Formats: sequence, C-alpha cells, structure tokens
Amino acid sequence: MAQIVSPNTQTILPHSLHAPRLTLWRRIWQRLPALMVAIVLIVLWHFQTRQSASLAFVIATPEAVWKTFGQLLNNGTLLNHLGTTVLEVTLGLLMGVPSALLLGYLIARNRFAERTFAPYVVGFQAVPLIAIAPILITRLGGPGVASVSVVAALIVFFPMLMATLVGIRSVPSELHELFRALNASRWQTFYRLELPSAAPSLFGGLKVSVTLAVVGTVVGEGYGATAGLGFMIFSSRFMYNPAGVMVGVFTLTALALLLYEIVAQLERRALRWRAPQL
Amino acid sequence: MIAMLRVENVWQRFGTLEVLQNISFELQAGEFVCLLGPSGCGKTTLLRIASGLLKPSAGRILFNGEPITAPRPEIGILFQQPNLLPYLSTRANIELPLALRGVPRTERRRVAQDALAQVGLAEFGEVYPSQLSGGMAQRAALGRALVQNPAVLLMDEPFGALDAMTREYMQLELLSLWQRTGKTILMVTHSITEAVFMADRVIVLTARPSRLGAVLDVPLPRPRRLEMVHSAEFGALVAQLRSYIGAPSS
Repeated sequence: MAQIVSPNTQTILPHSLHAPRLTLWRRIWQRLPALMVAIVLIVLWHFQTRQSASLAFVIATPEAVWKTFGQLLNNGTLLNHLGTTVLEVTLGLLMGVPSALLLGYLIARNRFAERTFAPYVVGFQAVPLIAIAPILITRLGGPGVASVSVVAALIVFFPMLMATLVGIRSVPSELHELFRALNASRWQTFYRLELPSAAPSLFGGLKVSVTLAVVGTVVGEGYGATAGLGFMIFSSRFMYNPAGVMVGVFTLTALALLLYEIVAQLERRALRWRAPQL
Repeated sequence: MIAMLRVENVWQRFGTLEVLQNISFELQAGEFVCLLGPSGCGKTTLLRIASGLLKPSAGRILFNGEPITAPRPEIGILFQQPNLLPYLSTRANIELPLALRGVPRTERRRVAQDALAQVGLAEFGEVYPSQLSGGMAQRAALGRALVQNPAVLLMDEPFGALDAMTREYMQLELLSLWQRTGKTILMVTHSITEAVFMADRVIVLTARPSRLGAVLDVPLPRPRRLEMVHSAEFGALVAQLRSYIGAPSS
C-alpha cells in the first residue's frame, strides 16, 4: 500500500530510547557531594563531643561509635537485631502496601466506598500511633515480630493509600473514554490504563512507605519487644550506652537508604518511558 | 440500498439542557461528510452517540441497518487530542485495539507495521509519544483507529489542535488515505473552509439546541488540491455555508 510521505517524517530521526549508561567513575563522581556532606557532619560531631566531655553518657564520640559497631558486629548482636527488623519491615510492607492499594483503588473508583471509608481513614491518621500501640500489641499476642509488623503496616498504610488515590484519580478521563470506545474490560482498563498511569505516584508512595516502615518497627519495639534495632536502641539508652544508640540509629538509616534505593531502581526500570526527560 | 450510517430522529438532553433536537441524516458507503456548526452545538455529542459511547435520549443511529448500542470495531473514532498512552511505544499504542481484543502478537505486529506505514510513521514505531510532534501524534492516533479496519471513521475535529501548516498536510493525507481505502468518514469541524475542502457533503447544525440547519453538496472535483481554495466555486460554497450559519466565522 502506498505510503504517505511528508517532509517532517524524512528529516527527523527517532531519538535513542535509553540514556547512556554511566561509568563507575562518573557514578562515584556524582556521589561525591553527598559524601562531602557526611565528612563535614562527622567532623562537626567529633568537635561537639570533645567540647562536652561531661555528657559522655548522652553523646558518644565518632570513634566510640565505630568501636561499638565493630564489637556488636563481631559478636553477632547487630546482625541478630537487624534480621528481626528486616523481617518486621518486610512483613509490615507486605501487609500495609497491598491493603492500601486495595482500599485506595476502591475509594478512588467507587463513590459509595469513598463516603463509607474516607472519614475513618483520615480520622485514623490523626490518632497518634504511640497512644494505641500498647492496645494493639496486647491484642496481638504481646510484643513480638507479629505485633511490631502490624504497627509498621499501620504507619505505611496512609501514605500508600493517598498515593494510590492520587495516582488512580490522575488518569485523564479522555483515556478512560478511549478504553470504553475500544470495548476494554474492567480488568484490561485496570492493568493497561490505570496501573501504568498511576505508577509514578505509586512509586512515590512506596518510597515514603519503605522509610516509614523502618520507623514503624522502632515505634512498635518500644513496648516490650526483646529483639530488633529499635529494641537495641531503647536498651542501650537505658544502660547509658550512647554508642550503642548511635550504632542502632546508623544501621536503621542504612536500612532505610537501601530500601529506598531498591524502590528507586525498580522505578527507573518500570518508568523507562520517562527516561528522555531525565 | 441500506445506508452505511443512518441517524434517525436523535434527541439528546442532559438534565434540562437540550443539546440535540430531532437530528436525521444518512451516510452512504464511501462518503466523506463533514458536520459543521458553532462551538458547543452538540457535534461531539452526536459523534459520541454514533460511536456507541453515549445513549441518545430519543431516536437511534443505525450501522448497516443495525442499531448502535455499544462501541464496535467496525466504527473507529478519532478524538481531537491524540490520547496516546505515554508509557507505550508508538507501535504498542497502535496495537492497543488489537491487544484488547486478544489478537496474537505476530498478527498484531504485522497489522501495526502496515498501519504505521500508512500514516507515514514506519520508522517511529519504537519511539514514545512524548517524542512525537503534534501532527505525528495525531497520525499515530489515526493509525490506531485504522488497525481494526473500521468501515466508518468518526472524527472529532481531528486537526483542531494543530498549527495551520501541519493541518494542511494532514487534510491532504487524510483525503489520500480515504481515496485509497474507500472508508466512510464523518468528520466534525468548526472550520467552514476545511468542511468545503474535505467533504462530499456538509451537514450544518444550528446553535444549541441544535437542529439540522442545512445540507450542502460540494461538487468540487477529486482529488482535491490546495489551489482549489482560491477558485471562485470554492469561495461561493464557503459564502453559502457562512450564510447558513448566520454569523461571520473563520
């Protein structure tokens, strides 16, 4: 069949779809400013602790933290607690994220569901978790992995639900009309239109969720847990061991950064269509 | 002979707002008809009814003698905006109607490649919509409308969002495609010159509530060429349509 030829199809060539891969050296170079900030902060911390030697039972020096880190790592304590926290974070995310996706989708698509559930969702968000955590934990068989995971799931729930709501509602009505005109089924509309359209927002919600899940385990472990990094922080503070507290804090921070990076990598892969704008 | 598309006494109201009043007309197979009217007069509403997206308050539209009650593959629709999915390549966008119908991948590929070539985007299959110009995006949308091989194409001001030069290209391309494929086309426009340039017949709707204002045959020879716009005959047709609409217009 004859082809339509017009001037602009002959002169413009398609762009490459993939951004060029960065070399290792360039990656390190790009991280350099962030590393500099870390060095500056550690130096400031060092001088701060030297000036306030009388507060040694509250603030640890960087050197003491490093030493304690080595000890806790070698005797297995740190990995033990880290393992518990990772388990709780994972379970919390596995409970909180899918249920938020489900309820968020329902509220976004169904007026009745919105009127029924939305006030409770918003109201519940205003309830301080530390006030109800003890009740939850006693109802869920006492302190332990199960109850702490539920606390983490509850913290994750709201931001993930909001991200779902915003994402699903952001689908342009013209595209819904297109799918209707093409006789798409409800399921096809969901996974070929709503899910990919909402993906940028969902990944944003997931990034907030993974870091909040880490915070959630610390809150949950504050009520009589016997394992986990949160427990390690609380018990170190109780024993006036500020270095132990800081080791716990840094490990939690590293865990949150790692989880965030995993989500960011998944996002980069899933949203490759946005790459040209990066 | 049964009309390809037959609009029978269609009324449409939204609440207390009367949009269409007793509209009736017919399209024969292979005809190119333009629907002309002031903005907000219900042209788009009529097109949505014809595509099966909207149920009329009264009356009906028949396709080959069958009432249209839901969207069907024999009737393709092209919107004013390309409405491409930003996360799919141009090829995947064009394949979408087939994918939704469960056509196997290899068959989809073949048909989509053909459609890409027909709209002059053969080398642009792997590009995302954000990298296409306005005219190219609308051509991709046209390709998507063609993959189901519809007998009727409904077009809702398909070139309304394009600049004047791109618009002229697209008009010529559409006419050549129409002559090659023999499709029946109903195109909504608010441009009088576009209606005269493209159509065999122009149907004029009045301002809301819309009734059928007038029907004008366009006896200009085919294929249409851009120079025809300057002919006295063309000018006379434009003037006549303008008098039907009653207001000075572009």
